[in-house]
Amino acid sequence: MPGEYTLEDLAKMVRINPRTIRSYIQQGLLSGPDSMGRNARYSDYHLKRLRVIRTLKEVHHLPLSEIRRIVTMAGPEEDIQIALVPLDGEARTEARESSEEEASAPSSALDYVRARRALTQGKPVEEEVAAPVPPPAMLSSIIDQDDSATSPVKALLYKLRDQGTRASVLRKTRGEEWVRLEVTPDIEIHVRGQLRREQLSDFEQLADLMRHILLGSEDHE
Amino acid sequence: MNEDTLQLQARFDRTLVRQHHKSVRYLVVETTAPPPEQEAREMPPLNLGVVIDASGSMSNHDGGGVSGLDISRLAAAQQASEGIVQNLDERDTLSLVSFADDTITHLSALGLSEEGKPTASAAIRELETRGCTNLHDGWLGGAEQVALYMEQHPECINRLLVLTDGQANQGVVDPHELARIAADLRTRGISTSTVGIGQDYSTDQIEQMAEDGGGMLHHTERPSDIIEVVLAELKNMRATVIDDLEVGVYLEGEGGHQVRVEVVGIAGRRDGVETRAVLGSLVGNAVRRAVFRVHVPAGCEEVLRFRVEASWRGEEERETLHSEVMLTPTDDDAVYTEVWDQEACTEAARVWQADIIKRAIDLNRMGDYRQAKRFAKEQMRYFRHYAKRLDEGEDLVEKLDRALRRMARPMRERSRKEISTAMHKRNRGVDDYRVMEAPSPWEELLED
Repeated sequence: MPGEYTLEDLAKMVRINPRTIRSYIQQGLLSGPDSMGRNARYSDYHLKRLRVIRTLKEVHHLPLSEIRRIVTMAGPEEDIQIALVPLDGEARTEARESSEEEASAPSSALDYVRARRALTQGKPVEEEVAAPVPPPAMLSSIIDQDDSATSPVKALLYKLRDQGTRASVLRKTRGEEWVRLEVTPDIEIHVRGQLRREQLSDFEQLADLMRHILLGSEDHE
Repeated sequence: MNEDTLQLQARFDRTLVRQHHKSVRYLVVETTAPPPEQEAREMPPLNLGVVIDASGSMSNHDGGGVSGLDISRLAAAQQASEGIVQNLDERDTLSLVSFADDTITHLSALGLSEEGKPTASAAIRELETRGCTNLHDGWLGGAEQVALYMEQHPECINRLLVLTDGQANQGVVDPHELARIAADLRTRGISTSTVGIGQDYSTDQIEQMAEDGGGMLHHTERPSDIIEVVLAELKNMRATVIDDLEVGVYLEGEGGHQVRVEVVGIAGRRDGVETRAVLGSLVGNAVRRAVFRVHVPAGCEEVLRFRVEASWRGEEERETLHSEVMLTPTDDDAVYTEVWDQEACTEAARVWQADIIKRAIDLNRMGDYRQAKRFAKEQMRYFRHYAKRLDEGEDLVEKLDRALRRMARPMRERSRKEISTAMHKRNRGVDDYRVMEAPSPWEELLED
């Protein structure tokens, strides 16, 4: 496999839009090209990292913020060991092809709705909707498990129980309510607990002031 | 569907930006749907889920008004549902779900053949009020029935219509979370429209569901409203020629992160460097606009080329159509003497005005009149500065000024809901469906 690719080559191989690749670079998910300008070239590192990002996004439904955390923790040289989505044009049997397409497509409406209802009704979740992120070290072992019916969270639970915590564990963790206020599309304020109306108003004013400081006043000239 | 003929037109209010100072420009994108299908047979079948609030308050009577139809809210919802049954045919399916503390599925994707219709009517008659308002689970209960049928019949148009008169107080109640679910459903092929009944429903909750769900929000007060609105919404669902339309904008080339693009007045989302506006579904010949606010920092020297892409659900995969617009950095003198595109500027100002009013209504509803006043003062300064160069500017400023002064004092919830819904519809270019007792113009409600 050659080690130098143009943005278009790369985009075609990993089936990601070139502008999306550029946005990944801007957002720090991927380092920039090895050479700049019109003849910018990308390496095998970029190819591998993009496959990892696509896998985490499409197969594991992780948000970009979590993917950024995972790839940042791994560092630029470190391999992230997960079962990757195939490259465009890679040889595959018809049977594999269909299962891979299923794996990379977003979950169906029915799976999604059932998983959401199960979450709020306290039933076991068969299809994860917004899976909490396993730490990077766990990813490979979770994904290696040949049990497609097990959600990543369930798999992580089994794994943790297997690794030295067989004794009964006292349950301390309880879900909490948080209020989320958007300052800009990239910055949010999170406040734990329920807020009274006037408290919420104070935080909204705080967010407005922050937005004003960060973006300045709107100048329409 | 004849998607190939969707028309896309994009233009900036002004095409020049200041080279050495930051600038804000408005991009107005207009989409025009192709003509309606001539034959009803050519339309895709409708896979409709009707989700009805059956909480105790749905047994309330709101008075007959002009129509004299003095029945309970639930009875009106039942009559509207019966109207749906009579207006669909054997290719269409109806799911009927009611919710209170619990969720009951009365019909699961029943085909509305001549044999199916009596079954549907009988199920509708059986609806009864009970308990609290678990809107979230009821909505998802309806979505599950629609999704189930959709698995085997991908050719359908999949819609949810939610009727409620209360605030969701069980399950997911956070409007942002409801919006996220609505968007997730929409991207998976199911759109949501909502009908609020009376004064007590949460505008925040059901507006977010409709905004991000690619559907419409309707406000109703009387039984006749409910019936009219539901049947008009059904007519529009039936006549959809463009389904789940989104318009995205991004800056081509490097440096896109320095230019900020945001959607004004309607639901939007960021997808990488692209900013997308949700326009929902269009009937034949319908015109739908999206307005984007583009913040350009100082120091840009190169021409900024923006790609504008419309995408909508096709028979197998999403169809796309694109256009290109640009902004040219130049010296201040040239910018000040540029002739404004009056039509684009006026459209941008109207959407901006509606957005400001909606945000002021939210503050008013929270009882935060001090903040409403402060917000009004700040927004008026920017808006006046922009609108003074428009032919209709004086009128736009006067109305906004009057609205914002009013928002700094307590208002009736009825007025807030009517104005909020009017702004929602205006930003989508859709008329109110109530005919028998049409709502007053929003400006008049300020005096209410």
